[in-house]
Amino acid sequence: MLPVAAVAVAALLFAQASLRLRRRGRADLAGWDRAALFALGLALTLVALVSPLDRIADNSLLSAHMTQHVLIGDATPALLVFAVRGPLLVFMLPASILAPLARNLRVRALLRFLLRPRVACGLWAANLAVWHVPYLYDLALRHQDLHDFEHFCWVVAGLLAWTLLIDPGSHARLTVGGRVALAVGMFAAGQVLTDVLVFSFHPLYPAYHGAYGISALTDQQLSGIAMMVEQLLTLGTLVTVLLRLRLRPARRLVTA
Amino acid sequence: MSATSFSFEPLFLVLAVVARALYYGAERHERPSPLRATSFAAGLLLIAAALNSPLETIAAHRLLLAHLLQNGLIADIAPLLLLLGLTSTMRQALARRGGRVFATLMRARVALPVWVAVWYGTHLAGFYDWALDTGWGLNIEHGLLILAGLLFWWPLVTGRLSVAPALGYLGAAFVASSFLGLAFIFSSRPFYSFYERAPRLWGLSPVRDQNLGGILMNAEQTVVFLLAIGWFVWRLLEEEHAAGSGGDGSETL
Repeated sequence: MLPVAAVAVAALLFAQASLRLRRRGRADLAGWDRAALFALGLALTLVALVSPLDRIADNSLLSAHMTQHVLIGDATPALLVFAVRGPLLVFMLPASILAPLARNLRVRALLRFLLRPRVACGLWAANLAVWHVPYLYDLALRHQDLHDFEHFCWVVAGLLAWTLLIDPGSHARLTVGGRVALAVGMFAAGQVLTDVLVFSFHPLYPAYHGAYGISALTDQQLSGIAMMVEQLLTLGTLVTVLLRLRLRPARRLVTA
Repeated sequence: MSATSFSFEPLFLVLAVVARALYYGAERHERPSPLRATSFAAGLLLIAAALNSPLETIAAHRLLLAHLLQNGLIADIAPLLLLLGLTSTMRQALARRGGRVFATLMRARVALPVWVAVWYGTHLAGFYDWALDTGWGLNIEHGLLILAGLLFWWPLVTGRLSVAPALGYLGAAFVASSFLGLAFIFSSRPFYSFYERAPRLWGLSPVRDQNLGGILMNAEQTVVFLLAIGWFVWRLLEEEHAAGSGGDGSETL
C-alpha cells in the first residue's frame, strides 16, 4: 500500500503545483507534456511495485527483479525530475511546507551535501554495487523490511543522480560536459554489472532457479540485458539532448 | 592438423610489409613521434599475428569464438592503432591521393553505415560459411573488415568530427554493432554449418562455442567503445575548462 500512497501524494503535489502556476498565468511552465511525463513516471512506479511484475520479481525471475529496479531507480526518477524542471519544482511543495523547510539550515545542509556531484555519484554507484551482492540480494528477498529499504535506496539514489543530470533547478552543479561524463560513467558502471551477469557461466543468485521455461542462467543474462537496454534508452536520450544543446551555440554562430 | 600449429594468410603478411615500407618512406618527410611509430607497428603486428598464428588455425578450422576474437582484433583495434600511428601530414597525403571517392567514403554519415553493413554482412551465415569453405574467401572477409575498420575510425582520428558529434557517432556505432554479439550470446542453435561440422576443441559444443564467441565480441567492443567515448568526454571537459564555461544556466534542458 505504501507505493500507492506515495504515488497518490506525488500526483496531488504535482496537480496543485500545476494549478498554482496556471493561476499565475504561466501555463507554459506547467503544460500537459509535463503532466504526461509525470504521470508516466508514476505509472511506471506502480507497474514496478504493485503489478504482477512485483510478484514475478519476488518469486520467479531475476530479470523481472532487475527490470523492477531499473524502473524505480532510473526510468522513473528520470521522468519525474524531467517533468518538474524549472519553476514547477519550487511549486511542488505548498508554501506552508516549503518555507519552514527552506529556512531549516540542517535540511539545506543535508540537501547541499547529498547533491554534491561526488556524493551523489558515490551513493548511486555504491547502491548499484551493494544491492547486487548475491548474499544481500537473497537476504532482501527473505526479509520484506530489508526489501522495502532496498527499493527506497534505489529511488533515492536515482533521484539524486538524475537531479544532477537534468539540473531541474538550474543550479549548474555540473557543466554540460560534466553531465555527459556522469551519464557515461553511470553507463560504464552499469555495464560492469551487465557484463558480470551476462558473462557468468553459472547462476549467481541462488534464490532464482528459472521459470516460465527460462533457465536460471538465461534469466540472469536477460537481467543484464534489461539493465543495459534501459540505461541506453534513458542515459542515451539524455546525452543526445545534452550534446544537441552543446552544438546549439556553435550553430548560432555559424548562422550569424 | 593440430590445433596449436601455425596457419598463414600470406596476403596479409605481404600487405603488412608493404605498409611498413610505405610508412618508412613517409617517415623521411615527417618524422612521427615514437608513440605514433609504435602505434602503427602495433596495428600491423596485431593484423599479422591474428592472421598468422595458431589463432588462425583454430579460427579457420575449429572454433567460432577464435574467429570472432580475430575479427574483433583486426576490425576494431588494429585499424585504430594504424590510424593513430599516422601523422597529420601522412593522413593529408592519403586523403589527397584517395580523391573524391575516398573523401565521400570517409564522411561520417557514409563511414558509419558502411561499417555497420560490413560488420553484419560479413557475419551472415551464407558469406561466413562460403569464406570458411573456400579458405581464400577468408582473405576477402578479413580485408573487408580491416577496410571497414579504417573507414570507421578515420573521421574520429583525423578530427573531421568535433567532440559532440564524435560522441554521437561512437554511441550510435556501439548500439548498432552490439546486436550481433547479443545474437551469438543468446542463440540456442548454431548459425554456421561449417562450425557445426568442424572437429570440436576443449569440449565446447557448437552452441556453447557460439555463445562464448558472442561474449568475447561483446566484451571487446564494450571496452574499445567505452575507452573511445571516455576519451571524447575528457576532451569535452577540457574544452569547457579552456572556454571557462561553468554552466551558466543557459544550457538547461
